[in-house]
Amino acid sequence: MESTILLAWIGAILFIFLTALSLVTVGLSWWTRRQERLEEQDRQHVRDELFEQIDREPQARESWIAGLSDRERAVLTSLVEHYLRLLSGQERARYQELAAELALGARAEADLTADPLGDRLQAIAMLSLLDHPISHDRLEETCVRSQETREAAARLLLERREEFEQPAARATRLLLWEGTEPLSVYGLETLSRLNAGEESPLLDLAAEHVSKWNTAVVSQVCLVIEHTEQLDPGASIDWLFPLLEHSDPELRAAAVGAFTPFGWREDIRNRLDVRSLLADPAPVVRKATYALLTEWGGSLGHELLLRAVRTEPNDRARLAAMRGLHSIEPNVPVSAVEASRSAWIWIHAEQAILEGDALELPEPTGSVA
Amino acid sequence: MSEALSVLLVDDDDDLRELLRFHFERKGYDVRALADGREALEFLRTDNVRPDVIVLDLLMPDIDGREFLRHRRETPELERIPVIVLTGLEDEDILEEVFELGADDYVTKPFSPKALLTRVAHVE
Repeated sequence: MESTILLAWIGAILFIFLTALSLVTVGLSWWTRRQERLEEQDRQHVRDELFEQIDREPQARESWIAGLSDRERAVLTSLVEHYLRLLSGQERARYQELAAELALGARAEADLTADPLGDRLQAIAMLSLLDHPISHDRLEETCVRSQETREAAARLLLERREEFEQPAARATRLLLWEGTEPLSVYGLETLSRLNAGEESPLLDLAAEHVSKWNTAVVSQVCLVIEHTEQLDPGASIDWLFPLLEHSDPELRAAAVGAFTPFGWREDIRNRLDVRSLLADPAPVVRKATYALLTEWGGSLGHELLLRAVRTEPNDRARLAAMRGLHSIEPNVPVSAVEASRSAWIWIHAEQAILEGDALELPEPTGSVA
Repeated sequence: MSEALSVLLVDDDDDLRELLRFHFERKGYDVRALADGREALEFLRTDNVRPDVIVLDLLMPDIDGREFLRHRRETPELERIPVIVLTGLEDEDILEEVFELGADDYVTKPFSPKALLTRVAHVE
């Protein structure tokens, strides 16, 4: 009897608790939805006013700006930032003008020393969109404390490069700093864009400092070099060669990839011991070498890739070799590479999918890899 | 849609959609603005009217710009409507694909609304 009453009490309490929880959840959901609707209405209202005001002279919109509530001003700031990212030409110039009237640049500069990291990042992002004057010294003073702010400041230097001296070199130095913190994808993209041109400060910086950087950073630098077009043709890459003998196979592989843009240089082709790389015990290094040979092309590349598809013991590396061979010689018959039949089929299936064609499988034979 | 030239804007960015609406309406266009490719296809399939031109974003949820172009290519009467792609992507392969899928022109962001209006007028 007592246990029944106890169970009944527990049931009642659970019921009340779950009912209360449901009501709170529904209520919160309604409240959130209501807030979102009000915010959307606010945004629409401010946006409509913005479109009416944007073509007016600054003096004519002074009273409008002065009359904005804090909430409206915040919405307007968000809209101006968004449109500055989307627009170019005369229209963008108008939004720049409005941004100055709203003192967005001054506010952003003040926020460079704000405490929350998010506010500092937001400030740097805003400054990268505006033509509010900001010196490199001020950026160095305020933005070097963390990798995130260094990356954002480097992007600012990239976006406003015409206003600074040696922007590529300064921004590259900011990004790599002491070479102890790997870059984010954003930082890597910035680094690549900074060094795609006649100047390649990354190569000069690496030549001087690579021995002090940690392996993760060096690997990233190699990756950027591998994928950056139009590197400085006269830059020295002597510092890359010792990396090919590093104890870390991933770094060796990254270093191999970094030679990719230099295939047109006969001195590099002659100096790089490709056969030694193909004998590397790590499959990842051999795979990177097949990719390099694919990009460099030529009769030596063809010969070595053909040999690799017949002899490479690692499946992934062999697939890379087959992919490379196929790109140099698309019509290589399966009979020439019978030891890598499955890799041949894979590559042709890939191509068929990309081109929307039917795959024609070769006739089966006695030997299948 | 009235006898004024009509444009269908397809972009999931609310602010951009309204900005474009403002510029096109100011130029005298009749504007319909939709937030994704699925809405745009449903609008084109269920209504009797046809816009004179479509301005299409590529990156959208659900049915994106490329998927929209594929669907458009399968419907002869939709294929006749010129499409200008407005995109933040600058990848050459993607742009080549966009033309192969039947787009008539493209504009990359950041862009000038005035230049876009000129392109739209030229492509009609």
